[in-house]
Parts: sequence; structure tokens; C-alpha cells
Amino acid sequence: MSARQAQTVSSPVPTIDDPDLLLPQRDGEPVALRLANCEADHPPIGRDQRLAVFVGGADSYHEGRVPVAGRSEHHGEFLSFTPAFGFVAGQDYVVRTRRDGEPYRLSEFRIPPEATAATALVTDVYPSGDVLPENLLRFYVHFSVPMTPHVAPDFVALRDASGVADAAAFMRFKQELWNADRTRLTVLIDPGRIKRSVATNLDRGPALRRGECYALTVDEGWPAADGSSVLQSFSKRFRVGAALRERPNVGRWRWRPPRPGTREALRIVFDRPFDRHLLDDALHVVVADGQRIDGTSHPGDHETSWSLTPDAPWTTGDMQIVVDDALEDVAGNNFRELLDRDVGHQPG
Amino acid sequence: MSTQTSHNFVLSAAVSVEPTSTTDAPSSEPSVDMKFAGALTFSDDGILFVGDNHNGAIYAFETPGEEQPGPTVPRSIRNIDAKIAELLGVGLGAVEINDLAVHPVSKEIYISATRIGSFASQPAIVRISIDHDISLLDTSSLPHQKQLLTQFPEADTRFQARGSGPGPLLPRDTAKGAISIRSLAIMDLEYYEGELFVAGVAYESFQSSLRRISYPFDGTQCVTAVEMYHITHDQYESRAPIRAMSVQEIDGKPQLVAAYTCSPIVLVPLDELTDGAKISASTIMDMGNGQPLDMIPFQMGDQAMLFVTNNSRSPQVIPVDGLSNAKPVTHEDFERGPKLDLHPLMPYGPTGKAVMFEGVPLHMALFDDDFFVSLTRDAYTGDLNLDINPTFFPNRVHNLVAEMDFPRT
Repeated sequence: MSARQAQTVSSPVPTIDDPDLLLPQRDGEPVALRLANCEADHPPIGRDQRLAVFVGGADSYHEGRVPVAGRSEHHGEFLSFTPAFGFVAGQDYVVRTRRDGEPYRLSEFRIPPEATAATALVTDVYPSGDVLPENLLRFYVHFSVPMTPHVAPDFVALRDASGVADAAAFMRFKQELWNADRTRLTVLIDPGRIKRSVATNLDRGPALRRGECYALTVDEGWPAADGSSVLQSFSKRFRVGAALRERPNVGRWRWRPPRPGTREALRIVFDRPFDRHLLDDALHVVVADGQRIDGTSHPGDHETSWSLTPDAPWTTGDMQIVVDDALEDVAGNNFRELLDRDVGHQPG
Repeated sequence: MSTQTSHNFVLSAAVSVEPTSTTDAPSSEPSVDMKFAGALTFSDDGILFVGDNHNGAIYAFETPGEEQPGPTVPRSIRNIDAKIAELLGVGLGAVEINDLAVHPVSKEIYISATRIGSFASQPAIVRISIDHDISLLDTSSLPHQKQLLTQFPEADTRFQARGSGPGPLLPRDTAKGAISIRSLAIMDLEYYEGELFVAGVAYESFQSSLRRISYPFDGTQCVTAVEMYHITHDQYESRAPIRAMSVQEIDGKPQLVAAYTCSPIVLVPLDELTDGAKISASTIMDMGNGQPLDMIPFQMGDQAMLFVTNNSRSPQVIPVDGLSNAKPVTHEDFERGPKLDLHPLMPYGPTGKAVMFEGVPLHMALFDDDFFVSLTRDAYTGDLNLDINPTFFPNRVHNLVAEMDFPRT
């Protein structure tokens, strides 16, 4: 076997199509190679020998080339290679794969330039529902690319049905509330406009009035952080419904136990919309010994439901749905307290 | 299919998340947020210091290294920049090489580079083993410390576009005006007896500065503004920074020997480097014009030498002995007026000798007692090659054909 390998290694057979090789389409994606069962833990060929990426096309490949630096990892039946710096759009790369007892294969790829030259767009706004409570606390605005900071108030506005912007609707912080790569902005409605009977609320009234229609707008012209594009305008219209004045009540949540032996999703329907980002890590399903069920979960129905598709089929037994009591609804109420409690006595 | 439906889901709201929750996980070693890998130097025991002119910080990495058995063999890696580009996954034009240093124990060669991506540049430190293996240093796996610079210049303070003679500014002139002064915040690093000395610019009007930072970093640093008399320009200068430096024992005390552009060499006693001080360095020589690149102490026999490379003139070998009792000069020592390359006074002072070194030595370091390592631009092919050459002059004779290359008959 080793003699045969040595022989085949010296006679490369470049091939373009390798059905077991997954090539990246975007700069941050890995290269992945599906391994045969017997190969996954086969020690004679190291990971770097099984899967390596080189700069240039197949015709520029030769022995002794320096492979692209990165990390090789096993994920199930796949061996993946993630480059230390990502791949560059427009640059040719060639993947060298090597299977037990076979000559190595070369497969070329190139990240299309448009995959990185994304234009600045608002991709999502949360809460995503069309009817939002009168005491809504925050919006999340998601962008397709990192955005220029410190100018958000110039572009983001809450407008009434006639298009008039409410200049005092949002909290103004010295530091804007961005995620690490500046693709998600958190916009807080001034709590003074939400909390009943505080001065701002009395002076200006609430930012959102039940029964009225509003729009969260993002004006065009906001530059992306890299200066390569400016944002196209965006508007999310919604109607204002009743305020959420009670703590969330799990007694009113609905779900149906999934069938054992299947990987069907467990779907839980909530009593109200919850905060989109807190939902990411707030719910888990655990078995009797506390072991968490691994799987893929995502919110649905405008953040009024949550589904978990397990990695392994459901087994029979008692399970528990565990909720972080810090999970907030879209008005900032959690299981322990309300953001705005009724004090029972209205002054004046 | 199955009739078993005995799932008993219990919903419990007031149960805290499990400790495996990512939001509650204890914070691990802070990640390395380096934005630029520029000047490099090692401590004697293998701490790698990296200057980040983008973040205005010095990073110190504990780099492991084992002593290599056996003697050093001169070697070279041709087209080292192309190989680094391959490693970083980009074309040759998308890599800039910023500095080079040699691990004092393992003799591995460390090169700092910039990987220029489609929209952003990223720092990289590349390690070259004794066996010529080229790998990316995983800085996130190394224990590290970070020291922020005080008085870090504002990002929008830029050079003026000066031009180079009569006539309108050319694009190459205006391009200089787009460069942030910040890119000169860290020009050279020198480790000496538990302290790191940093040459560069600070934001004060007196911009040329020397920073003195004890290691391990304790958050403190002292910043000293440095002025010096420039013979060629016949003026006192306090903005353009020191380019290359070395600590030497001169006149019975440790002093920084420091080289500036166009190209005076000055002495600065370490005991004058106190926080907030504004000092005048002692100008003792001037090469004429040109931009110094590196200053490398080495021994030739029993004589301590400084090898000073330059991007536009032959390197100079300066005996350290000659710096003792050297006369510091001021404007009062000369007839007033600029003194350019052809002025009879130039080069002035104990400048040692210009030596042959074929090609442009973009970055150099001492490899061991007997060898230099250099990244040299080949004058004929333009290739950037990594070479290890003896500490002997003339150096790099391989591109010359002389009498001795002919067959003996």
C-alpha cells in the first residue's frame, strides 16, 4: 500500500469534479472533504496531507508549494479546512485531496468577487411582527455589511403614519449599541417615553400609541464601514397593539411532544413575542440527568415560537424545557419582573 | 410508527441556564486584537515584542524555542515574499513585509507581514524553522501581554505633501500626504536588561520620542521627547523619528546609538530617558542623506561593531570603540547652511566604513555570532530573498564575477 501510494503521489491526476469535495462560495467558508468511513480515523495520512489548499490554479501546482495556513478539523464524516485569513475574492485556489491508495486530485475554485462586494442593505429588523406592543422597548437592525458607526441617529428614525419623524423616540447614548462586527445595531426606545407617569412620558406622550401605524425607517446614504457602498433606504411599517403589562406566563405556552425515534422538530408556541437575540440562548431541552439535547434551534412566527430539531432522534423519557428566567419579551419584561410596573397611584 | 408517546415535558421557567451557556462561560485568555504586525524584537529568553502602529500598542508573546544542535549552515530561501503570500492565501502583490527577528534560542526566523485582503489588511507573523518550513505563528495560542502607547498620534494627522522640486505635485508626492503620522508611532524596538525601548512619534508638538517600558508590562511607560542637531539640514529637528537603534556601553554608561533619516547618528544616555523630559541627543556623526533601515551589533574578532543598513546607500560598519569620546556637535561647530552629500564635510564623524553588500537589505538581523540573516532585494531579478551570510565583508559576493571566479589554469 505504501509503495503504491508513493508511486501515485508522483503522478498527479488533476481532476475538476470531486463529488466528495465541497468548495467555498464565500470568503469565510471552509473547504470540506467527505471521508469514507475507514478514512476518518486513518492515521497514516495526516489531515494536512488529505486536504490542503494552495494559491493559484491547478497548472501552477507543484511539489514543494507552501499550502495556505489554516485549521483542519473533523466534523462527522467531513474533514474541513478553514483558512487562517479567509479566501480572497477573485484569487484562484487549488485544493489537493488525497485518499487512501489513490493519486491526489486537484480541484480549482475561485470566490466570485460579488460574494464579498456586498452592498449595504438592511437585511432584518426585529421584532419582525406587523403588530407591536405599545410598550415596545427595542429594535434590532441587521445590516448585510459592517456599517460606519457614530452616525446612526442621522439615518434611523421612528416615523408616524404621515411620515413625521419623532426626534426624541430613541435613547441617545455616547456609544452606539453595535455587535462586534458592526452588522447589528440595537435601537432603544427612550424608556422615559414608555414608562407611564415619568416626566418624558407626561411631557411628550408615549412614542407609540395603540391603534396607530408607524414605520422604523433607515435613510439611504449611510456608508458601509469599508466605504465600498452606501445603504439603500429601508422602512418597516407596523401597527401598535396592546401593551404587554403582565410577566410572561409559561403556563400559556403550547407544544406537542415529538415522536420518539424521529428527528421532527419540537415547536413551542409562546404567549407573546420575545426578544430575538435573547432567544438564541434562552431555551434548552434537557433529559432527566440534565444532559442537553443537541440540535438546531430557531425562533419562528415573528418571535412567538421556537423550534428545536435534534441532531439525534428523540428517545423515550422525561424531558424538561429549560428557560432562562432572564429572557425578555419585546417590552423588556422577564419572568421575574416587569419593566414598567403599575404603581397603583397615578399622580395628578 | 412507534406507539410510545411517554414524553413528559416539564416546563420550568425560573431555572437558570446551565453553566455551559456561552453567555455565562468564564472569559478565557483575552484574544489577540493585533491590527498590524510591524517592528519586531526578542528578549534574550524568547519574548517576542511586536509593534502595532494601528492599535498603538506593543504585544509581547512568550514564544517557545528549543536550542538547535549543530553548526549554522548558510542557506537561502528564494522569493520568500511569494512563499509568505502562498501561506497567507493571497497573490504576491498582496503581502507587505514589515520586519524580521531571530529567536535567540531556537534560531527560528520570525517575519512580520501585512496581508492585504479585498477590503481590510490583517497582520501575520510568519516563522521559518531551521529546516526552512514556513508556518503562520498562531499568536492566539501564546501567552501574551499588551501595552498601549500613551500619546498615540491621532489617525487623521498626516504628512504634508512636500514635492521634490519645482513644478506641480505629482501623484507620488500627494500619496505621501495621505499617510497617517500614526504609522511612524513605532519605528524600532530594542530590549535591554528588562526594559523595552521604543522609537517613534508621539502626538505632542515635540513628536520624535523614545518610550521606555519595563517588561513584564505593568501599564506604565515613560515618554521622552528627543531633539537633535541635524548636520546635513543645519537645523534642530524634533519631529522625524529615530529609525534604528542599539544600546551600547559608551563612555562607561549604557547609551542608545540612534540613526535618523538623512542621516545623523546620535547618542542618548539611558539615564536621561525620564517621563515627560525633553532632551537633546548628542549628534556625533552624519552619513549625508539616505534612510537607515537597521542597526545590528556584531563582533568582528574582538571588536564590537554596528552594522547600519540604509535604503539608499551602502551599509556602514561602525566600530563601537570610535563612539567613545566622540565630540557632540551643534550649529556652532560648522559654517551655517545645508551640507549635502557632496559637501567636503560629509560624511562627518566616526562613521566607520561603507562596505559592499550586494542588493538592498530591506530587513536584517543577527542570526548568531557568525551570521547575519537578511531579506534582500536582488538588484537584477527584483526577487526578495532570505539569505544567511557570514558577518564578514565584502558580503554577498555571489552576484559578482571577479578574478577569483575564473578557472585556474
